[in-house]
Amino acid sequence: MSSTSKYFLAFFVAVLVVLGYRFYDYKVSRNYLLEVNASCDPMAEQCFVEEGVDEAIPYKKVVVTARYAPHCLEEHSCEQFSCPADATTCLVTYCNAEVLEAGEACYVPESASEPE
Amino acid sequence: MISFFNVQYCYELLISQLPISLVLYSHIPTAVAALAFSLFVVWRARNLESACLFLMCVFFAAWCALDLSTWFAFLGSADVMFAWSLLDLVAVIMFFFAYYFLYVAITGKDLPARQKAMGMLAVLPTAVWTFFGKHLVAFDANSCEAIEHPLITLYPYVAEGTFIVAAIVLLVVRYRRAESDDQRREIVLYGAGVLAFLLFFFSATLMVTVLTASETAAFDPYNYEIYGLFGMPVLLFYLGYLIARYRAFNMKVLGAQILVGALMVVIAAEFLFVTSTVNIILVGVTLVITTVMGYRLVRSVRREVDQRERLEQLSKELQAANTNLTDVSHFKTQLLSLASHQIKAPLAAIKGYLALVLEGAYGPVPDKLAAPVEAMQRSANGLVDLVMSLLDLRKIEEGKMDYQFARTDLAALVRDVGADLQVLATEKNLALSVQGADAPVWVKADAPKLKQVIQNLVDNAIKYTPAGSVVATLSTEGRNAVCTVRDTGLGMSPALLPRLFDEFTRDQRVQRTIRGTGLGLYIAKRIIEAHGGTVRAESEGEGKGSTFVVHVPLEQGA
Repeated sequence: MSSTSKYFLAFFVAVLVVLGYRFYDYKVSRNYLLEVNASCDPMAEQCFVEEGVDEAIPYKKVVVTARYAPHCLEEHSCEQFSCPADATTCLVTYCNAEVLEAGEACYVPESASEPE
Repeated sequence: MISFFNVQYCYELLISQLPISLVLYSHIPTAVAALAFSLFVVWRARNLESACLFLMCVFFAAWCALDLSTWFAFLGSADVMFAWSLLDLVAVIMFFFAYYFLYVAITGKDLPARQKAMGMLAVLPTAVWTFFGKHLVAFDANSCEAIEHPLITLYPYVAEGTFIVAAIVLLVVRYRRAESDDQRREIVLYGAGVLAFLLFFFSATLMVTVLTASETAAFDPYNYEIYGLFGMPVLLFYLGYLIARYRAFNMKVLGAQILVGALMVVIAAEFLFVTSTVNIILVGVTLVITTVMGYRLVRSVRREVDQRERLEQLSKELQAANTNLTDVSHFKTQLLSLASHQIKAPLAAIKGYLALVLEGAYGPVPDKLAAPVEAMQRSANGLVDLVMSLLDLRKIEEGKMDYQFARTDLAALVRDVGADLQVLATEKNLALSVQGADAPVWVKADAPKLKQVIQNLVDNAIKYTPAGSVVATLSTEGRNAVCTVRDTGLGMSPALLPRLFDEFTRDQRVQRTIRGTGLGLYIAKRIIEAHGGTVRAESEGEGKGSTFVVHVPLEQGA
């Protein structure tokens, strides 16, 4: 085998190893973070809403390792989410003035805004 | 409006950004064309250059497939993350093989080990980050895209930029070292193709990254990405041209083959657009017709090209054989000339002494000796004629025949010839007569050489006429003097007439009975042509006599 062939062989083996490991890590283990907006109960939680949208849906921000949030994955809406006890990474962000981004607002329940 | 991440959401997000058909059209035909082209090349050429091209195209096609997966986020976030994570690595490797291919293509050598190592070193950081998954931070379910690490994701552009700079440096250096215009043109064509491919890709992907980071794009920055793929057709066009024009990869492929192939890819790509059954059938029929007609066209063109190449090859061989023959002919003339010069002087001495002997300068010649000495004199005269003919032949062939043109009375020359050869004719009991040579006929001629021609014709007539008469007639016809020598001799076959004035041509019937060199008529023709005249022979057939007609221009004002 020529030196060029050896180089190529080693090169492709390395590429295959990388490819195989990525496949295992992402596809099989689902070991990646998922940033997703989960449904939020405005009566019990501080929820975000989009500004200037009628009938905006309240939400909270979730960052979770994908394998711990199967309902947030492809087939399902991320409703009634709470961090699993065994999750290595699971962060739920509720609305407050410090975390607001452009185009967002904190949800104010209608009952709370009405004068007593 | 923000919704929760699901299949429907990501699909709607995609089609709101740009038409799916455009995404498919930019990725699939380009990748298929690159793969098909490189596969064809590597199958036909089977060398390092084609292998590098093939690997480059394989990684390009892989990149297209992976990128397409990232667009189709509705297939699942895990698929997107997997595909997205490999994009940078595949792109950097593709750049490495593009440089590798360019190097082999324009130098004809393998990439030096040090450059291979440096290339792999450039790929290594991306491979490490990809292995550990450090270049992707998370999957953003709201935008259906992976979130890239802001710094690590810049490194692949550094590596790709380095390969581009290396390619430019390589092209400049090799262009300067090129020894011929053809080499320079090939370098320019390879360089233009590869750089177009790399720069399209590099600038489009870099623009996406910059716009994504700055968040200033009017619409989704990833839309720009599809334009980066259009460098590949440019590269394929250049490579196709290089194959057809310069036989790159040592392949003989016709322009028609490339054209038909490209046409088929374009028509097949229409399947990505058409949706109705009728249109699908129409495109299918068009593709089948194009394939069949294209196959027939390529076969026809190939046959013609093969024939042309065979003719070119034969022409080259003929040219070589002709050159060889010219050399041999020149050598033969030189040899004859040398031999003739060496023979001429001793012959002159023999001829002179024999004449003195016959004239009685050394006392009376005994009767018994007279006949042999006369035979010796005839032989010596024959040999002198041969030597003189050979020397004339050499002069004619080398264009060194010296003519001294002067006002000459052709009638006097004809009369002189008649008088000179009267004895010879009488010896054979032939009636030799000269007609129409009483009044002067003025021509501009080299008198001795013109006389040599007429003498040769009359002498031949006497030699080849066993019985009967020889008549030399002089007349004028328009602006020409016409000298006709007619005999009642052996005549000639129609087959001999066209070759009569060629070198060493003799009538087979008399080759052993009548002495001759076969050069007299050839020399006569060349001398007459040098006078601006013509000579021709006529005969009604064997045994029916011959007529030789010489036309020489009259002196102007005569």
